Amino acid sequence: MAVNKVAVKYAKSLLDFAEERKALPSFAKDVDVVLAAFGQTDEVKRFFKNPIIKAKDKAAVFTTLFKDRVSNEFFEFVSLMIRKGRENVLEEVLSAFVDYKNEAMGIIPVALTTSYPLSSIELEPIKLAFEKILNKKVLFTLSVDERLIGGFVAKCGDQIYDASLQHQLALIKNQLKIGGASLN
Amino acid sequence: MVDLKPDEITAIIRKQISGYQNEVDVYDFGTVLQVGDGIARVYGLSKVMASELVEFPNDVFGMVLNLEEDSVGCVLFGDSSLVKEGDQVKRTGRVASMPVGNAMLGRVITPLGTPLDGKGPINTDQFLPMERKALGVIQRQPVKEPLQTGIVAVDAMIPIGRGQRELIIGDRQTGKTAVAVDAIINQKFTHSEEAAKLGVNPVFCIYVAVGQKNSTVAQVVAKLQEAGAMEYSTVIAASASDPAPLQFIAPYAGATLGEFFRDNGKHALVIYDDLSKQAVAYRELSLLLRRPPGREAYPGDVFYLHSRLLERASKLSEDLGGGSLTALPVIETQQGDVSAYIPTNVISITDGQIYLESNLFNAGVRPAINVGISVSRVGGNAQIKAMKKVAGSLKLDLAQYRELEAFAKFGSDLDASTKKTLTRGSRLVELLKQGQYVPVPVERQVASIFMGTNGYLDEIPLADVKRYEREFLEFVDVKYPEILKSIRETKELKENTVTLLKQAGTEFTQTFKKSV
Repeated sequence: MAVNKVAVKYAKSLLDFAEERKALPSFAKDVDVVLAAFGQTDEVKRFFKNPIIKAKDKAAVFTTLFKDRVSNEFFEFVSLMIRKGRENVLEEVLSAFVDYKNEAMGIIPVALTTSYPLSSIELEPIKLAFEKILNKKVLFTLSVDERLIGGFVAKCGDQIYDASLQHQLALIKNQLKIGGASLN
Repeated sequence: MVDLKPDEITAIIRKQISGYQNEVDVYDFGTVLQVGDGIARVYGLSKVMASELVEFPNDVFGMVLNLEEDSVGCVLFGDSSLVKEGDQVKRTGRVASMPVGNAMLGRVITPLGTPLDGKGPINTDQFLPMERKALGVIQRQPVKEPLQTGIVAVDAMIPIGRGQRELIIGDRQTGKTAVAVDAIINQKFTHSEEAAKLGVNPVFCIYVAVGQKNSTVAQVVAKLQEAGAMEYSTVIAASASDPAPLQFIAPYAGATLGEFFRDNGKHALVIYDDLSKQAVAYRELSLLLRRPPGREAYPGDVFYLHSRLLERASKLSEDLGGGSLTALPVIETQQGDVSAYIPTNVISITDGQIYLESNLFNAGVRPAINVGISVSRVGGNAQIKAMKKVAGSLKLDLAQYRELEAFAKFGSDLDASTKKTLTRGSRLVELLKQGQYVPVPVERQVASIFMGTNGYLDEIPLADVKRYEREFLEFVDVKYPEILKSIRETKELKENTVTLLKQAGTEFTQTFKKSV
């Protein structure tokens, strides 16, 4: 989604810093920890977004929550953001960081929707095929939509690979309409 | 009910879906961020082209106009209430284009090429982009063939050539559309067998209605049908109730269809009625797209909007088939103010203008063309020799008349030569009056102007001038048909034709005077 300009700047500098320290994987892990916490409950998110709560309290909460779970550098980075009054975009910064990190590491996230939950045996050939087409490592996020009837829909970046039965049927319907054949 | 065999049905269905291929469909998509007032901001679509068509849900199409850092601005050609935030937008991979072909003739269509007249689908197999670069210098040649409008004042003094751009400008209710429609109706002759024998190529007509009332468009269509002009014409309608983006592209669609004829070595006439409304539509969507406003809140490229459209009118070189596209843009002024922004722009782009005035219209001079300030910068080369010969003295006589017109009030106190000029001038003005939807062939125009400039009308009462003209032409038709035949075929005013004309004039004037 369209991201905040501030978030882009913070995320890019965090990425640069991580690459400079050659500690991209460890930073990535730290980010995942925080994002996971954000994802688990709405409360944490709301707490950091709330402009009424003082920066000091936010910093204290962040310390107790994450001090022991993340690296020192990353902790300092978030503390800096809180001091600068930018904690309200913390989540955006971190998700933008994940996007940039994936790009830097040659990983492409693909949202795969299927009509029923796929087993890992079924998933493997799809993954291989995508990695061959995109020439990148594929990271799937899976979801299920029964309306597809069969096949799958894969979204990666701005592109959709639509191999669902629902879409194929729609195409046939259009084909029949365009032809203008009549039975008379 | 006709009996149907099941295998027949199977065969038809099989034929129908033979084009269908079972493949993974790969397409680019974006997400609607914001929608309203006929425009949408879309996130994604990172590879989209400028002015590409994009597809929204519910069969609404849009065109990409603004490419920004993280979003694209699209204008919607359909109902914007059918598009919601978060909807998926598909790229079509083609820039805004329209179907073209001979099947378009006789039809009323939208700027996107879909029929509006309920006469069923239009079978065309060719698509052309709406925005095309105008041709360069090498591909062109000077305007040299006449485009007869059938209006005496225009054909004699403001001649239009094939490939020219002549502006029709005037206040509301001065007969701008009437001039344009007359020009279309007069092209009927060019489609006849007689024209083919004389080497006159047919002219196909396109009438683009921008921002007009649907009832007005219906009236024009009915008039064209009545005159049998619809067979070689197409009407492209983006009425006042259509979204601004449709009104904005309508003239371009007209130019595209005209270029189809031109590029196939044929001749086309396109009328943009009117470009001031198109400019307003463009202003509307530019402001909604947050482009910076300039003078009168029009965007900075409103000149380019019209210049790139009108520059597409051209006369092709013989190597490219010698086709032509003539453009007659229409501009409506407010209280005769030609120095407003849009009128000055279009005046400077075109090769001349036909200026219509409301006080002339009210004084009964119809068509209300002010021949004094109307000009045609290139059409003179396209006039037939016979017309050139008689029009020269017509222009001169009228110019002298206008100079002395103010003295006309003094009546008897004037000297003889002034009186003579005034009499001649008033007769000529009367001669140039003409009814609506009655175009006059060029040879008849020449004959009647000849009578006027050679003084045969001077002794006829002003009220009888039109009757004189009508009866004289009837007289010539019956007694001296070789006069009109000679002008029509040789396109010149030969020595013996002049003698015959003079003879006919003297003969007829004598009998006519008895009837006064």
